[in-house]
Amino acid sequence: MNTTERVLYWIGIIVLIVAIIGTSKQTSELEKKESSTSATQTGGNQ
Amino acid sequence: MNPKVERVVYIVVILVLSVYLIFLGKKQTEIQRNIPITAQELYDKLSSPKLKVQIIDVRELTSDDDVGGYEDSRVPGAIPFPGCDESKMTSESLQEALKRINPYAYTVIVSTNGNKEIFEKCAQKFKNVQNLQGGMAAWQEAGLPDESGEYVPPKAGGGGGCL
Repeated sequence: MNTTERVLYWIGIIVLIVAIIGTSKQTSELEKKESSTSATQTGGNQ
Repeated sequence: MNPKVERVVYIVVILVLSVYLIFLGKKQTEIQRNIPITAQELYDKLSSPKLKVQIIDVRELTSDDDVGGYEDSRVPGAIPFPGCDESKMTSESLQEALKRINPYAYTVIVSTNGNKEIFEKCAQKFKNVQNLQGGMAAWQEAGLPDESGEYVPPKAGGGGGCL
């Protein structure tokens, strides 16, 4: 396995990790928004 | 390390990360489905040429209530799909509209008042979907621009964003 191939694999891994971190952040923000939305709806129904 | 083993390790790591990313994406889509979009948020998305939003209007074409039907007042660029029922798509323009509905595009469902039952029924037909909070009534209350008249398919070559 030469250095170029190794570098390409690492670039792929880093890109995937960055995408996972970004998606995780968005998901947790959405989860917060979802819980606040459902809390508002529950409050509104009372 | 043996080059073959090293290559296999890299490929396995990339595969595991890819599967996890797909899982996160699906989870995000599921969560998004439970969060309604507000009229202002939808307007902002429509104003952006980078974002492509498919708007499906599930109201009847005409209605006597205050909000009106699809042909009385609608979100610009909305596609009519009364009751999310294909059997109601009888006229030529509705058949044309049905052909343009893409189940894989990011979709916002517009009903009269943001009815959750209608949304749940319609959401089954789309992969990435949100409900317009308060429906067309909220859009009108916010004083956002609307369209009226019979559905006219967009011209070829049009970009994203409808405003």
